[in-house]
Amino acid sequence: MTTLRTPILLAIALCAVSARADVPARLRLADGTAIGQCMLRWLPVDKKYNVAVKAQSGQIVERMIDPDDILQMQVAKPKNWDASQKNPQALLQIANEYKMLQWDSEAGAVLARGLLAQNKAKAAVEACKKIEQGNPRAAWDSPMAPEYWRALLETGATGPLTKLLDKGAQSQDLSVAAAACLLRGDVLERQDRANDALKDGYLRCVFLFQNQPAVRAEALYKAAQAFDKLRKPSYAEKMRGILLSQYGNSPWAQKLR
Amino acid sequence: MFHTPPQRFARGAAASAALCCALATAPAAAAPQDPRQDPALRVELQYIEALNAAGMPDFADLVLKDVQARWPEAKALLKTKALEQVLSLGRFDEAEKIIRAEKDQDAPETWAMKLLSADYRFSRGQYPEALGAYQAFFKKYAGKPPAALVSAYAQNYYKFVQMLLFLHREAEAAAAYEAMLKLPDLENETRRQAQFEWAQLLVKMAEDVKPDKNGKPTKERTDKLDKADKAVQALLWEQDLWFGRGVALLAHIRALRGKPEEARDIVNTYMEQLVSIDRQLQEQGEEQGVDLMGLSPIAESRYLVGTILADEADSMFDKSKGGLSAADEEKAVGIYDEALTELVNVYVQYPGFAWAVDAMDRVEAIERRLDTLGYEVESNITPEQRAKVATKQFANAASLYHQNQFEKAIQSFESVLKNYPQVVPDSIQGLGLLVQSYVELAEGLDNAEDAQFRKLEAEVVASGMAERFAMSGRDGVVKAGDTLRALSAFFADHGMPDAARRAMDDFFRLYPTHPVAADALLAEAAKAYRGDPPDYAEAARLYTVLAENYTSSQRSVDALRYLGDCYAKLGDSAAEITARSNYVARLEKDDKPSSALLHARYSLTRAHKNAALDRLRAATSAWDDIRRGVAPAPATPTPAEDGAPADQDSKEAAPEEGKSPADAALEELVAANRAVAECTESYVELIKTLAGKDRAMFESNAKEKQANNNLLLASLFDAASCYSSLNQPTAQLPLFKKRAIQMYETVVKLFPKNDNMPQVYLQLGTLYSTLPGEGAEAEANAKKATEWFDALSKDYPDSEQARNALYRQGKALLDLGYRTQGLAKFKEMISSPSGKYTAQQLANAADEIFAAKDYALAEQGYAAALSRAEPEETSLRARIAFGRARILVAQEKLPEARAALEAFVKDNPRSASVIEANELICEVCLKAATAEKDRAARTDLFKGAIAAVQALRPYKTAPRDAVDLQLRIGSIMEAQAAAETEMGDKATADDLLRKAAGHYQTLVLSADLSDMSLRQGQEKIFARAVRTLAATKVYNDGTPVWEDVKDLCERYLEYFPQGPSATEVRKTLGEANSNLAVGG
Repeated sequence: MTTLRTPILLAIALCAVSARADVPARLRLADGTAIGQCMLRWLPVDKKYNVAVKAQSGQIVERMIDPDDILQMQVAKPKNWDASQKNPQALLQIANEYKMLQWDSEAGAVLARGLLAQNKAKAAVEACKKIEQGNPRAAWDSPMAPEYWRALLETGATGPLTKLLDKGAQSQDLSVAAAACLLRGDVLERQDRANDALKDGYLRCVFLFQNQPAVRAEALYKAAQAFDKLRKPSYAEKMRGILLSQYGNSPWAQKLR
Repeated sequence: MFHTPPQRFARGAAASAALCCALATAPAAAAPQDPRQDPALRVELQYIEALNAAGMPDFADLVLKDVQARWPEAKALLKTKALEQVLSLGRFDEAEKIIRAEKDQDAPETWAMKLLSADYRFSRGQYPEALGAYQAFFKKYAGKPPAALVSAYAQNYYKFVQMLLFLHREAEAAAAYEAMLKLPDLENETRRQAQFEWAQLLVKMAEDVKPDKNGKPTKERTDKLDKADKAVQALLWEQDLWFGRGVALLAHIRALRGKPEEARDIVNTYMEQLVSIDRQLQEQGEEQGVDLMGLSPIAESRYLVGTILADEADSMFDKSKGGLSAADEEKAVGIYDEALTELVNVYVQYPGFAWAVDAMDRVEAIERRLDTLGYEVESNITPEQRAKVATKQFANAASLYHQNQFEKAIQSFESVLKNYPQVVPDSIQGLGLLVQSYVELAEGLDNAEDAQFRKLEAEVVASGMAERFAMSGRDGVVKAGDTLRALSAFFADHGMPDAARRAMDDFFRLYPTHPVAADALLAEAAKAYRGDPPDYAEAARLYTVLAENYTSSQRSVDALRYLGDCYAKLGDSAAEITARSNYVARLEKDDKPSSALLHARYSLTRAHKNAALDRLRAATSAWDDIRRGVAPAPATPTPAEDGAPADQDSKEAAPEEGKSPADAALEELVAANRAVAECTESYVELIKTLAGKDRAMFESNAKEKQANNNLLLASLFDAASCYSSLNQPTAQLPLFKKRAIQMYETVVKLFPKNDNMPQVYLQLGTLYSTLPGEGAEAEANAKKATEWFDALSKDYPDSEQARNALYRQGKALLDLGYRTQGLAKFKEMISSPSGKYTAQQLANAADEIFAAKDYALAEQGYAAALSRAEPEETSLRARIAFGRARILVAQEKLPEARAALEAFVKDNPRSASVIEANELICEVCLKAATAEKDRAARTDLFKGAIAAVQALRPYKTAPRDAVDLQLRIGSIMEAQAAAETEMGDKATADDLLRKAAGHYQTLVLSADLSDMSLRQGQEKIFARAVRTLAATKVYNDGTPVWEDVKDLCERYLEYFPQGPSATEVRKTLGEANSNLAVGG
C-alpha cells in the first residue's frame, strides 16, 4: 500500500504507541525486491511494519508491509549497543525499544548468553520470554533462539522447548536450524533416547549442515558418544575420525584426548 | 581384448531404482499437490541419501519410516525408496513381502521392483535367485514387451548379459546377446554396442578353444570366428565408435586366423576413418570435460598391430635354433622397432586405454630382448608421461572395483601396481582398493579356504602398504595413513576385527608424523581407559607407543601422565613409579612450570607412598608374627641406625652366628619405615611450595589455582597419614604423632569446609589421646583429645567417624590409665540401643574391656556383639567365642575355659587365634592339673596340655620352634612327674620322670649339632637329659643309669663347654663317676 505525505502524519501519530521511532534499515522482501535505504517502524496495533522510502523526487513514500513478506532485515546498530554489552538493564531497554526491529533478538542473545554463563538459566528464560512476548518469532528464528533453547534445556522445560526446536529446524537461517537440530539431539539424549537423538538431532547436523563447523564439531562428538552407548563402535569411530580430521583444533576434538 | 564399457553397466541397482522411480512417480506427477515440491520432503530425502552414502542404512531406514508417516501422500514416490532401503539392509524376505503385496504382480511397476530386488540379490551373491528373476521377466514378455517397457527391457537384457559374463557363463552370455539383438525395437546405439560386444565375446571364446591334436584350429573355433567376423562387418556401414572398434576387432580376427598381413592391411585401409573418430572423441571429451581417449579405435588398432609385429619378431627368434643370420636378425630388429613405435604410442598417447599397461609391459619385454642382443634402445618417455599412464590405469582399475567386478579389479590392480608400485597417491589408493577387492571377493566365495586365503592376501597387502609408504614424504604419509585408517574401519565392518586392530597398530607405529596420528592414538587409548569395561593394559600399551614414538608431539607428554594412571589401576606400583618419574622429568624441562608439574610430583610421591605403606604393613605384620610366636628376639638387639632403643620384648639371647628371622624382620621393618619417612620429606617439600610464595610461579589462572589448592589439601592429608603410620624408631613416635597433628591442624585452618573434616577431627582426637606424656602434658593432651572428639560428635553427628568416636575415646582413656572413665565410655557403647553400633564395633569394645580386666563388662560386650552379628559373619563370631573363652581363663574357671577353648579350636581350625587358643589350653590344663586331686583327671589334664603343644606344630615349623616345642613337652612331662610326687605317688612320679628322660634322650640322639641356630635349644635338651636321667638313677629294668649319664655329661661339656648348665653338668659328671667307681 503506497501512501502520500498527509497520511504520514497519521502514521506518525500511530507510532506514538510503538516503542521506537523510525530506524534506518535495509530490507529484502519475499518477492525478491530489495529496499536499500528506508526508515522502518513497527506498528504493534496493526502488527505490520511501516516502511518510509525517499523517492527520487524527494517525496517520502510510505507503505505498510507484513512481517511475513520480509525475507531479510538489516537495521542500523543502536548507538549504545557496544556500551551495553555487559549491562543487562541496558540490553533490556534496547530489546524494548527495538521490538520487532532485529536488535531485540540480538540483545536477547547477548543477555541470555551472559546469564547462562553465570548459571542463571531461569533468569535467561525469563528475559527471553519477555522478548518473545513482543516478537514471537525471536523464540525460534533469531540469534536469540539458540540461547533461549539452551536456557530452557537447563531448566528442564522440554515441553515448550521441543515445539520451538521443531520450528527452529525449519529456519532459513542455517546457523539457527543447525542449532535447533543439535539441541533436539540433546533433549532426546537426556530422555535416554539415543537412537532418536542421533536420527533427529546429531546426524542431521553432521550430514545436512556441513558449513556450520562449530555445531557440526559438537554434533560429531555427541554422535560418537551416542553410538558408543548403542554399542555401534564402527559408527562411533566414523564420527570421531571426521571430528579429528576436519576439526582437529576444536574443543570437541580436544575432549577426545 | 574384451572389456566392458563402464558407463553402460549401472552399479548396484541404480538403473532399476531409476526405472522404479519413473514408473512409480509417473501417475503422481499429475497430482495437484506434488510432494516432490515440498522442500521439507526434499531435505528428508537428501538426509536419507547422505545416511546411505555414509554406510548407515539402518538409520536411513528409520528416517524413511518417519518420512512415510509424515507424508502419506508421497507413498508412491517413497515405495521404491522403501524397497531400496530394505534391500540395502539385506532384508530380502521383507522385500519379497513388499513386492508380493502389490495387487498386480504382472504390472510393469511390480516387475521393476522384482528386478530391483534381483539386482541387490546379485550384488549379495544370490546369483541363482537374481538370474531367475531376470529369466522370469524375459519369459513373461518373450521378446515382446509393452511399449512402456521397451527401453527398460533392452537395458535389463544388457544387464542380464553382464551378470552372465561376471559369472563366466560365456556361452549363455553369447546366446543372450544373440537373443537381445533379435529384439524388434532395439535402439540403434544399443544394437551396435551389443553387436560389437557379442563379436568380441565370440573372439574371446574362440581364443580359448584349444587346437586339435594336430595343432590345427577346430571347427568350433572357426565357427566362432566366422560368426564374429560377420557380426563385425555389419558394423562397418556406419561410422561411429563401434565402427572404429569393429575395425580393430576385425583385424584381430584376421590375425587369429593366421593372417597378420591382412590384419595390418585392414588397419591401414581404415586408418583415415579411425583418425577422424579419434579426433571426434577428443573434441567430445573436451566439451564434456571427460577423457574419452581410452575408447579410441586408434589405440586398439595400434596395440593390435604392435602386438602382431612383436609376435612376428619373437617367433623369428624363438624358431631359430642356432640363432638368426645377420640379415634375419636385422630384419627381426627392424620389426621390433616398428612394434615399439606402435606400442609406445599406445600408452603415451592413450594412457587411459585398457591395455596401455600391457603395451608398456610388451615394450619392456622387447627392450630386454634387444638389450641381450646388444642393442641400445633410446627412450623418450618422460616421467610425467609415465605418471599420466599410471593415473589413468589406476582409475580404470578403480572403476572395476566400483562396478563390483572384484576379480577383474584385482587383476587390473596387480598389473598396474607391478609397474607403478610407489606412485603417490595413486599407488596408495590402488593398494587400498586392492585390499578391499580381496575382501569383497572373499565374501562371495563358497569355498571357505579360498575365502580365507583372499582375506589373508588382503591383510598382507595392507601391512605391506603400511611399511612401504611410511617414509614416503609428507603427501605419501598423509595418504597412506588415511588409507590405513579407512582400511581399519573397512576390516571392522567386514567382520575382521584382528585385521582392523593390526591396521590401526601399523598406523600408530609407522605414521607418527601423520597430522592426526597423535590425536587418534590418544583418543584410542582414552577409549580403552574409559571403556565399559575398561581395558587398562591395552590403554597402557597405547600410551606407551605414544610416549615412545611421538616424542615431538605434545601428546607424548600427556601420554606419560595417563600411563602412570593406567599402571596405578593395574596395581603395578613399580611401573607406575617409573612412568610418573618420566613424566616429572619431562615437565621439569619446560621453560615455564605450571600446576601440572606440581600435580605430577604429587602423583609420583603418592605412588612411592602407597608402595612404602604396603611394604610397612607387610614388615609390621611379619614382625608381629615373630613376636607372637616363640621365636627369640636377639639377646643384645642391635639398635636401629638412628638410635632407637632395643626391642623390649625379647626374651631369649641372640644366636651366636647368622641372622635370625627376627633380625631380618626387624631390619625390614626399619627399612620400610625409612621408605615411608622419605615420602613424608617429599610431601613436606611439596607443601612448602604450595603454601609458600613460590606457588605463584605454578599457576596462571583460577583453574590452576584451584588445582593447586586441591593438591595442598591432598598433600597435607597424605603427609599426616605417613607420619601416623610410622612405627620405628619407637623413641620418635611422639614426634611423628605431633607432626601428624600439625598437618591435620593445618588442614582445619586452611580448608575448614573440606568434605573429609570428620576424618580429620577423628584423627586429631586419636592422635592427641595416644600422645605419651606425664602430668600436665598428659592432661593437656587428653583435654585436646576430648575437645576434638566432642567437636566431631557436635559438628558431624551422623558421620561414620562420629559413630566410632566413643570407642576411640574409651580406648584412649584406658591407654592413659584412666580406667574408670575409659570403661564408662565402653559401657555407654554396650548399653546403647540396638542398631547404633555394629557387632564389629561392640566386639572391638569388648576386646578393650577385656584388656582392662573388667571381665564381667567384657562378657556383656561380647554378648551384645554376638546378638548383633549376622549368621554369615563367621570370623566375627569366632572372634567373640575366643574372647569369651579368654574371659573364662582370666576368671580361672579352668574346666569351662578348657572346654570353651577346645570347642573354639575344633569349630574354627583356620582362625588366626588357634595358636593362642592352644597356648591357653596348655596353660589352663597345667594350672588345673597341678591342683587336681584325682589322678585320672590329673593325667587327662597333662595329656591335654601335651596335646595342645603338639597342636602347635603345624604353625611353628621353623627348626628352632620345633626344638622349642619338644622342650615344652619335656617340661610338661617333668611337671607331671613333680605333681605325682606332690600327690605322694612316687612310683608313678619315677615312671614319668623316666619317660621325660627318655624323651630328652631321643632328642639328643636326633640333634643336629651343625645347625648353630639351634644351639641354645640343644644345650637345654642336653642339660635336661643329664638332669632327668641322673634323677631316675635306674632304668625300668633296674640297670643303673650312670654310664649313660657320664656319656651325656661328657658330650654336653664337649659341645657346650661354656653353657649355662656346665657347672651343674660337671657336678653330675662327678656324681656319675663316683657311682661308677663304686660299681653303680
